[in-house]
Amino acid sequence: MRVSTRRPAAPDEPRLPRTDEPTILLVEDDAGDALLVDELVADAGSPMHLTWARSMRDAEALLAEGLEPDCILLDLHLPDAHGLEGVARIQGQAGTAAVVVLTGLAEQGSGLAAVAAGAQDYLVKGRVEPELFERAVQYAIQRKQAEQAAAALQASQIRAQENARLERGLLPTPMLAASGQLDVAARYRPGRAQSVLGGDFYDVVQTADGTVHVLIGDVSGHGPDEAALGVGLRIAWRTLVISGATGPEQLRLLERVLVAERTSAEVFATLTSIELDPDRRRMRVMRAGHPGVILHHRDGAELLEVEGGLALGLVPGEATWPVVEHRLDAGTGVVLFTDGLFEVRTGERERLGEQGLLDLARGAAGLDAEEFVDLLVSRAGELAEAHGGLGDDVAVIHVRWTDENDEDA
Amino acid sequence: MELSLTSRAEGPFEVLAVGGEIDVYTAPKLREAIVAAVDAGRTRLIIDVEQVDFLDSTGLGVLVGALKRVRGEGGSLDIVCTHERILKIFSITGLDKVFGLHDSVPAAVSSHDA
Repeated sequence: MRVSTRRPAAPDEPRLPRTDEPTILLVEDDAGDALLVDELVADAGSPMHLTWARSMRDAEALLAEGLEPDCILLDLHLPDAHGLEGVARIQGQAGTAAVVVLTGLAEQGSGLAAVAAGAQDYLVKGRVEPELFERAVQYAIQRKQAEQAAAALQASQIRAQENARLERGLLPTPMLAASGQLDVAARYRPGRAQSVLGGDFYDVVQTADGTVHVLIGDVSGHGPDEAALGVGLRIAWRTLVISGATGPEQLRLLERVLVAERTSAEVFATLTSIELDPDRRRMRVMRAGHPGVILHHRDGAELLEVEGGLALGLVPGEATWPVVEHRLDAGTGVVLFTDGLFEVRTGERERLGEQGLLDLARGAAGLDAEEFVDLLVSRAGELAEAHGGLGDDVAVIHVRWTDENDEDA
Repeated sequence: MELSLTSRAEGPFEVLAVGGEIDVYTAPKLREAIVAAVDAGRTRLIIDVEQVDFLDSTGLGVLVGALKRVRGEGGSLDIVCTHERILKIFSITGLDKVFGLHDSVPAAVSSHDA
């Protein structure tokens, strides 16, 4: 391998390219053709840094050593790589570099084929003036950058669509036996890392006996895997509820699903579930490593943090979850939420905290359910605004029996 | 906010003192330190979170993963924590019953005297 550099340099000066000069890697086995390119570089109006590799293997070795060319000039007749195969190979090694192929006079067709296969341009050997050469190299680099920007944009659009699909899976339409019995207000706001969905999920299912089952949960970590697991757990929970599994048995089975589906043994899920008895005066609460619920009374709010058990998946098969019964006053709404709502940063080292959230809820107690959850989520977002925005996803669900039967109390 | 991490030997124990915030962004650093200690045969870990301001679910996952890892090697994991806010996170998740929680590093060390 021979490396030539065009910059007039003192012998002991490190041969590192300057960032304002494009770095060009010439892959060419013919010394005469290489000399022509060397002269084109020398005659070009602006400085370029040229490195010469005599074969594909030499080029690959240079790339592996850390050479990051802006543009690769590739001969299509190398001893160890031929035609389009060479284009594919060099692109695989240097994905961010523009590729310009060098063809002979009689083979412009293969130049076009190389462009169709992803090269940015082709030049015909011996038919290139310095000015054209310089412009071709500059254009190829620009074109490559534009292609990469377009590809990144497309990837982010696909990701947004995937997120939207996952979000629909995480946040379903309540499954209610009859309409007009229950008011449900739910909100979900993704955290500041827009490209990454968290694994917050919720669900509402009413069984044939009239009991309303409500779930909120959070898969640890962030990302599409966690979000997909959240969807899986929500549907598993829905299935368990419909098929009659309740209480600790329900969570035990759900934990088995989690353990079978998770991508790493570190992943766990927290959740709080409630059952609203059809008598409208009782509810049963289970807590698995998840925060409690806020009881939204007409004239105030309180935090109900019942005794709970371990989050699902932490110590599989060992946890127990107490079912705690609680009296529900007429007109009281139950608010389930994920920790993103109170872990909001409100200062350099301060978080809103559960007490801060409760204060917010008390101040908003006079509002109806929709306004109430809107206020909680938007206030949390405003508080976080000065400190980088919501760091985590926020999910809130507010359920209350429709108040037609208030006099029954 | 950053995560700070120092480690020192305390007899047979490896003490990892953590400061700052353990969240989805910084937790991998803590995981690496734990894996490095266990790979080096240091399986009796004491993780001191006295200087930790915030711990999220990813951070908890790393601690649980550490517990599984050291137990698999016949080691132990103790946590030093007195801050109400962090203790609350352990109690909400039920992890206060899983981890040995102690007031100080000496207390964590002497809990193994028997």
